[in-house]
Amino acid sequence: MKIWRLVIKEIGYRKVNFLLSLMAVAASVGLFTVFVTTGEGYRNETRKIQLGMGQNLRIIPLETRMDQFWSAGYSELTMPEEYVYRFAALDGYEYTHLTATLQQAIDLKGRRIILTGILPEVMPPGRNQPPIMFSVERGEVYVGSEVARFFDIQEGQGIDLEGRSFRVTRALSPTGSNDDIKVFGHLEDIQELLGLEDRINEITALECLCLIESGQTELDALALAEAQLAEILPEGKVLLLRGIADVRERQRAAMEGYLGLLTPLVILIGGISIGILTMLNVRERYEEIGILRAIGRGSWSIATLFLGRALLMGVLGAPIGFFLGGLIALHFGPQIFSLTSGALRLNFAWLALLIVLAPAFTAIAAFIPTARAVNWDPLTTLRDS
Amino acid sequence: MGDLVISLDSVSKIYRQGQKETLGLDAVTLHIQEKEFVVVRGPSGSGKTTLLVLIAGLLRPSQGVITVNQQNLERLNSQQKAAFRARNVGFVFQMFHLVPYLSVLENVLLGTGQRETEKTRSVNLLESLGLGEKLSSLPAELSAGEQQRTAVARALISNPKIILADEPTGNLDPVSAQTVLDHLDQFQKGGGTVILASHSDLADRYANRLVHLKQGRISEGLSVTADEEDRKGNPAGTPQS
Ligand SMILES: Nc1ncnc2c1ncn2[C@@H]1O[C@H](COP(=O)(O)OP(=O)(O)OP(=O)(O)O)[C@@H](O)[C@H]1O
Ligand SMILES: [Mg+2]
Repeated sequence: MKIWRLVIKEIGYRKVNFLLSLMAVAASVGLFTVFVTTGEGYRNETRKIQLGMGQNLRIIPLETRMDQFWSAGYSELTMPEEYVYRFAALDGYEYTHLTATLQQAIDLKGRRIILTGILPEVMPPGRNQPPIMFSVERGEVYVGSEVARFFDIQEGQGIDLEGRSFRVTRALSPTGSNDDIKVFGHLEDIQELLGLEDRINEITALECLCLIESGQTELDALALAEAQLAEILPEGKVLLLRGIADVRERQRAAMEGYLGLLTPLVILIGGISIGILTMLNVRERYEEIGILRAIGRGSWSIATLFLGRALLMGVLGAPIGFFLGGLIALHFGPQIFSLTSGALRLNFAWLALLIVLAPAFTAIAAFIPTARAVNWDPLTTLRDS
Repeated sequence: MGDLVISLDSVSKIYRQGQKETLGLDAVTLHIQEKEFVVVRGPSGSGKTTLLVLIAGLLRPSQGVITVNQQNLERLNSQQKAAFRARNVGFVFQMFHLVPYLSVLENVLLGTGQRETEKTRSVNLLESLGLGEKLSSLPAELSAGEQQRTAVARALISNPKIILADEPTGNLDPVSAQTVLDHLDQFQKGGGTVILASHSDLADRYANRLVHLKQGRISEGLSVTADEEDRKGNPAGTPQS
C-alpha cells in the first residue's frame, strides 16, 4: 500500500478537518489575492487619479521675475511657441489639457485690459476629449465681464483693438478673477496685435501627470520636472501646482501600508490555523502512527502521511483561493476600495506563484505537528490497558 | 529443533513517569528457538505486553540485551528497526489497531509494505479466515472477532519469521478465538515462531512452551512439549550466557 493512497483515503475519511484546512488555505490565498489585485489596481489607479485630479503644470519664461509674475498674473517675458509642441511630444508626461497663452496688458480707452491669446488645446496623442478651456476663433474675441460692463459691449458687436476690429462672440460672466479684465482672442491674432509672432509667455498643462511615483513629495516632483524639462525647454521654468492629487496619494499610501500590514497577518493566521488543524489531525491519528510503526513503516512514511496531506491542501487551496479572491476583488473592489473596474485585473502570474508558495507554506505550517507525529512513541498509543 | 531466533538476557524495563518508576520487566532471560509456539501467561500487569513490545523493538529495554534473528536491537536506529520489523515481525495487538479509514483488504495490504502485488494472497488469506464477505468493509463495520482476524491476516501477510500476538483472543468469542489460534498454529507449523501473550489458558494447548510472568519476572518455565530437548538442540547458545 503506497503512502499516498493512505493520504487520499484519510482525507476522504476525515473530510471535516481537511475541508477546514482547505478553507484556511483558500481564505489566506484569497485574501492575499484580494490584496495584490487591489494593490495593483491602486497602482494603476494612482496614475489615473493624478491624471484626473492632478496638478497643473505651468511653464513660464526662465528669466521671469516672480514678483512681476505674481503681481501681474503673467510673465512680461516670452518664449518660443514651439515649446508647446516640444512638451506635447515628450514621453512620460501625461496631461488632459495643454495650451499656451500670450498675455499682455494694454490701455484701451484709458482702461487697463489684458489681451490674452489662447492656443486651441493641444490634444494628447491618441486621445480625444472635449476641451475644458475655451478657444476663440480667429477674428473673434471673448470679453471679460468687467470689460463688457465698462465699455457696454454686447455679444455680436464689434470691438477695435490696436487698430484691428474683432467681433465679440461672447461676453463672459464674472469670474472673480483678473479674467474679468481680459479680452481673449486666438493666439495668432494676439501675437500679431502685439507684434510677438510665434511667442508665448505661458504653457499650461492641466491635470498633468509628471512621472510622480508614489511616495514622492511635491518638491521631488518639481525638481524632477525641472530637471527633465530644462534640457528640452531651456528658456522655460516650471511652476507646479499640486492639487487634490496629494490627498488621494496620501490615501493610497495609507491604504497600501494598511494592506502591507494585513497581508502578513492573514498569512500568519492562516498558518496558525493550518498548524492547529494538523495538530488535531495528528492527535486523532496517534493510533494509526503506532500501527504503521509496528508494521515497520519508517519515519519517512509517517512524515509523508502528514506533509503529503499538507501539500495537497496547499495545491488545492491555492487555485480555489485565487479564483475566489479574484472574484471578490473584481466584484467588490470598485465599491470597497473605490477603484474603477478598469484598473483591476486578475494577474495569473500570481496563480502560478501561489500554487508553488501555498504548498510550501502549508508544509511549513504542518511541520511542527508532523515532527511530533514522527517522534511519537508508538507504544503510548498501542498500549492495551 | 531450529536455531535461536529470540534471546533476552537479563532484560529489565523500568517505566518512568515523572518521579514514579514502575518495573515492567525484571531481569528476564528467555531464549526462543525457531518454530516454537510460546505462550506467555500471567495476570494483568505482569509484563506480558512489555515483553512482546521489547522483542518487536518498539520499546527499548532499560537493561539487558535483546537479540532477534541474530540482530542486536540496540544497534539499530529507529529507521533500521522499522525495516527490521517489516521483514521479520508481525504484531497482533490486544486491541486490534486497524486503520479506521482503510477497508479490511487495505488494512491487510498495509502489511505488505510498499508492494501492491500481494492482493490475491491477501484475499485468499482473508477468505481462509472467514472474511471473504468483508473485504471492503471498514473496521467500524466489523465485529471484534472480525477485526482481530483482520489484524491476524495483516500480521501474517508479510511472511514474517516471528509473530508476536498480544492477547489475540482476549476479546473474542470461542469460535473466533479458535479460528485465530488455528491460523497462528498453521503459521508455526509452516516454520514460523509464535509468541502469544494471554492471561487465559485458551491457547495453552497450542503451546510447546509456557512461560509464566509474575510482576515482571519469569516465575516458572513450564515445558508443555519437550522444552529440555529444545534447549539441547541449541548448541550455539546465546551471546551472553
Ligand atoms: N507506558 C507505561 N508507563 C508506565 N507504566 C507502564 C507502562 N506500560 C506498562 N506499565 C506498567 O508495567 C507493568 C507491566 O505492564 P504490561 O502492560 O506489560 O502488563 P500486561 O501483562 O500486558 O497486562 P495486561 O494483561 O493487563 O495487558 C504494569 O504494572 C504497568 O502498569
Ligand atoms: Mg497487555
